[in-house]
Amino acid sequence: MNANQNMPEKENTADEITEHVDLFRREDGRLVLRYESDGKPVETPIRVACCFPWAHREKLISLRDDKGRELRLVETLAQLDAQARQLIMEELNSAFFVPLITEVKSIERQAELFLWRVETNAGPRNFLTGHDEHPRTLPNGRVLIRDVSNDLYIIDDPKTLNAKSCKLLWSYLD
Amino acid sequence: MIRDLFQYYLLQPDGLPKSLAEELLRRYPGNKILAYALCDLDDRQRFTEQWMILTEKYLLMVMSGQNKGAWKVKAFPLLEIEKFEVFDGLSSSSLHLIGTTGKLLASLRYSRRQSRAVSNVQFVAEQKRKQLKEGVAPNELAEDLDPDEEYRDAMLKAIEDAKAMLSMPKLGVMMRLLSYLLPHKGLVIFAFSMAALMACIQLIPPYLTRVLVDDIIRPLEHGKTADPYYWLWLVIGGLALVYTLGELLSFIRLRIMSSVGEKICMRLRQDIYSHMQKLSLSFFSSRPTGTLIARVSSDTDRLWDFLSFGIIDIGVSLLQMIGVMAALFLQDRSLAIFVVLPLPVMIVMFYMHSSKIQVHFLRIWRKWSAMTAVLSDVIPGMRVVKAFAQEEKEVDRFNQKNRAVEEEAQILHKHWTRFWPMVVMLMHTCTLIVWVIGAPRVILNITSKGAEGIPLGVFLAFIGYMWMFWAPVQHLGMMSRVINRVTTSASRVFDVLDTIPSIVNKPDATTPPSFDGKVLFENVTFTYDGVRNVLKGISFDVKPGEMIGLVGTSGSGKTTLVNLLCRFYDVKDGRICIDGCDIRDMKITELRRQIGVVLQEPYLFHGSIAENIAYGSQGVSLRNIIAAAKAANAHEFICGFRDGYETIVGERGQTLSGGERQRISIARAILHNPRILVLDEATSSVDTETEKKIQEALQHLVAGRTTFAIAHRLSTLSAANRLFVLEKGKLVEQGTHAELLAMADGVYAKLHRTQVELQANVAV
Repeated sequence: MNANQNMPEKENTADEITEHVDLFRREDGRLVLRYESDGKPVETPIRVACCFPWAHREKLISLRDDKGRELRLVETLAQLDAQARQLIMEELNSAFFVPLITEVKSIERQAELFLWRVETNAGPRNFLTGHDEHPRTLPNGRVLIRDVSNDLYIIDDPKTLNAKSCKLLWSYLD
Repeated sequence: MIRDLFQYYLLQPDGLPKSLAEELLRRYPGNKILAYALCDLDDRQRFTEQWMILTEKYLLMVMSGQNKGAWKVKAFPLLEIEKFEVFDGLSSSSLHLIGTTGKLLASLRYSRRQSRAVSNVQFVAEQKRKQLKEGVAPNELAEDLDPDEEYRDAMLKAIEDAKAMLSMPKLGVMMRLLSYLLPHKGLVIFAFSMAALMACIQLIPPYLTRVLVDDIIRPLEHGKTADPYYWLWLVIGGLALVYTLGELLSFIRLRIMSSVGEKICMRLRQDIYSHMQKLSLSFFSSRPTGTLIARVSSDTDRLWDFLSFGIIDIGVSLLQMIGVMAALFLQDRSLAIFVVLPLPVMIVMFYMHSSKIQVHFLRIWRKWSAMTAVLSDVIPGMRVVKAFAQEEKEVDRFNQKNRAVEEEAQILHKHWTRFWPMVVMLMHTCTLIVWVIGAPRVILNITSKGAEGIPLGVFLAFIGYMWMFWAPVQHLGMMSRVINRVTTSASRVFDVLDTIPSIVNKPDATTPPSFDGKVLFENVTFTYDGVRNVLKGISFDVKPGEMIGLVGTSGSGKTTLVNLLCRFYDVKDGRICIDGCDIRDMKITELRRQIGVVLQEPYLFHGSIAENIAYGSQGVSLRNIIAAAKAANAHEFICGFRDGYETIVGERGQTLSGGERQRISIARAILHNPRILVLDEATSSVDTETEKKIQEALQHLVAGRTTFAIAHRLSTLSAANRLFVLEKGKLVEQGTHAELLAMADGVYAKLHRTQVELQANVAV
C-alpha cells in the first residue's frame, strides 16, 4: 500500500518550520537539543527518528528524548540552518545506514533459503534470506531485502544494475 | 567446517585471529580473553574488521593495520568506563563507551548480525566491571564462558534458526523418501516387475508388424505363403493378447501403487503431526501457523503423486529406453544411430527448459502466495472492511494480485507451449532423416530381390520402435520438474521430523502419585539465551494448598517461573521439587496432568461447550460437567443459550464474550482437578463486573489446591496467603499483603501506591 496516498493533505505549516532548532554535540557523543521549557533553558540529549525512512528520508524527522517523548518534529531538513542540518544528517546517516547493493554476484537456492553474494557500497557481503522473506518493492521503486539476522539491504533501481545482476534478480522481484 | 560456514554465509572470520590472540596475551599478560565480538562497520560506513575484546581488566578495540598481521590496539581499563550506550538504527547499531569523566571514549558500529555477539560482550563487561568494583562474583553471569564458542553461537544463531527449515542435499531427501517405501517393499517390487514386464511386452507389437509384413504379406506376393489367413489371425490374435495383458499389468500396478502412495502419505502426516505434539512451545512461537499446516496437509499430498507413479515411472522409462534402444539396434544398426544421436541434444534442451520453467514456477508461487495473503489478511478483518465500507477496494486489491498470477501463468504457458513443439519437431526431423535414409534402402531391397537394403517389415518395425523411444524420453524430461517440486516438499516435511524436542523424559522417569502440592524451588537459575540469567537463585517453599501471588513488573520473571514449574523449559541450575521429588524425574505428561493452567487468553477448540469443558479429562459424566460449570459461574449463561451445553463455539470461540470464555476455561480447570494450579493473569482482560464473577469462580477453583497466581492488578491477589515479589529475576520480598505494605520502602509497597493513585485518578 502506498503510504503517501493515504496521508491526509498536508496543511501549510510554514510558521512552525521556520522555528530555529538549537542543536550541538556533547562530549559524550550525544546530540543535544537546547530549548526553553517554562521559561527556563533546558538541554536534552536526543535521538532521531525518521517517520518515513524509505520514502522521505529528509522529511518529517522526529527529535525525541531517551524515553521516546517527542520534543520537536522537523518538517523538512532543507529548512534548517546549516549546522543543525549537518548534525541531524550525521545522526541519520549513522542510524539509518543501509548498504546499497551495487551488484548481485549470485543467488544460491538452498531448498527454501537463498544465499546472496553481493557487492554493496560498503563492501562485499554474503547474506541469507528466509523462504518467506522476499525482496519487497517499495512504492518508489526501490527494492528492500531483509536477511535472517534482520539486516537490511536496498537496491535503488534494479534496472541500473548490470545485466547479470538484473537477470539474477528478475525471478525474485514482483 | 565452522570456518566454512562463516566464510560461506557471513564472509567473516570464525573467531579471533590466532596471531591477534597471541599478541594480546603478550601485551597484556595475565589478562584472559573473556568474550569478543566483531564490529563490522567503520565510521565511513564501510565494512571492516574491528574486534571488540573483553579481557579481565580491559576492553580492547583492535583494528587490522595496513600490513597483514599488524594490529592497532586501543585499550580501555574497565574501571574507567562509566557506561555503555546502545543506539539501534534501521539496520545497524552503534555502541558508545562513556568514560568516568563523561567523555565519549569510543563509538563502535556494527550491523544487525553482530548485535547478539556485541551485546554478550557488553553484558559480560558490565558484570566484570561490577566485580572489579565490588569484589564479588555476580550471579547474573553464567560461569565458564568459552569466548570462541559464545561468539560462534551468537553469530550462527540466526542462520541455524533459518536452517532448521532447510534440509540436507537433494539426494539425501530422495533416499529418505524412498526409505518410506521399505515397509511396502514386497508390493513395490511386485508393482515394479509388473511395470517392467509391461515395458517388455510393449516391445512385441512392432515385432509382430515385422512378422506380418516380411513373413506373411510380402511372401504372399510371390505365392509363397500357405494358409495366409491362419497366420494373419494368429498375429492379430497375438496383438490382442499383448494389449490385453498390457492393460491388465498397468491396472495392477496403478492399483497397488496408488494405495501404497496413499498409505505412505498417511503415515507421513501421522508422523509429522505426532512429532509436532512432542515439540516444545518455542518451536511453534518461531513459525507461522500457516506454513506448519501446509507441511502437514499440502506438502504431504504433493508427495503422493510422486510416490505412487513418479518413482516407478522413472525406473520404467529408463528400462524402456534401454530396451527400445536395444531393439532399434537389433533391427538396423546404421539407422538406429540417427535416432539415438539427438538424445544428448534433447537432454541439454530439457535441462535448460526445466531450469527456466523453475524460475517461472517460483514466480507464480510467489504471486500465488501474495494472492492468498490478501485472503488470510482480509477475511479475519471483515468487520473492519465493512465498517469502513472498503468492500470494493478490497475486491480491487484481490483482483490486482489475481491478475498478476494470471499474467505470470500466461508467460509460463507461452514458454512450454513453445518448447514442446520444438522437441516434437526435433523428433520429426529425426523421423524424416530415418525415412530419407531408410526408404530408398527398402526399395533397394525390393529391386534387388532381398539381396541388399532393408526388408519392408524391418523398416516398419523400426519406425514403430522409434516412436516408442520418444515416449520415455519425453517422460523423463517432464520428471525433472516433478523431482524439483517433490524434494522441496519432502525437505519441508523432514525438517519438522528432524527437530528434536528440547524437553524429554528421562529413561527412568517415574509416574508420581497424586500430589499433596508441596512445591520447593531450590536455588533455581534459568537463562533463555545462555548468557543472561532471567531467574537468579530463586528459593522458596510452598505448603500444600497455599495460594501464592506472584507480583512484579513485566520482565521480572513471573511467567518464566511458572513455565519452569510446568516444565515447558528445564532449569539451568538448582532444582524444582514437588512433594520432595525433582520434577525432571517425573514423566512429563504425568506431571502436567496434575498441574492446571488458566491463561489470560483462554483458548477454546472448535466443538461444543461441553467438549471444551471436558478437554483434558477422561470419562466424565454430564453431571460433573455441569457441576464444574456451576462452580465456575458459567452454568447460568450456558443454559441461556438455545443449544445449552451443545452450543458450538467457533474456531476461536468467537460466539462468546471474553469473560464467558474465561469462565469456561476455569470450568475446564475445575473438572481437570489439578493438585497445582497456575493462574496467568486470568482476569486482566475483562470488565470489573465480569471480573467479580470470575473471582468467585476462581475461589472455587483455588480451594484446597496449591496455587500460583500472576496478576498485574494487585487487588485481584487479595485471597493469596503469601505474595512473592520478583524484581529482575530475583525474589526480593515475600510475605502477606499487610507485611509487605509495612515495609514503606519495599518494592511491593511502591507498586501498591502507584496502583492506588492510578485508581484514584480514574475515579475522579
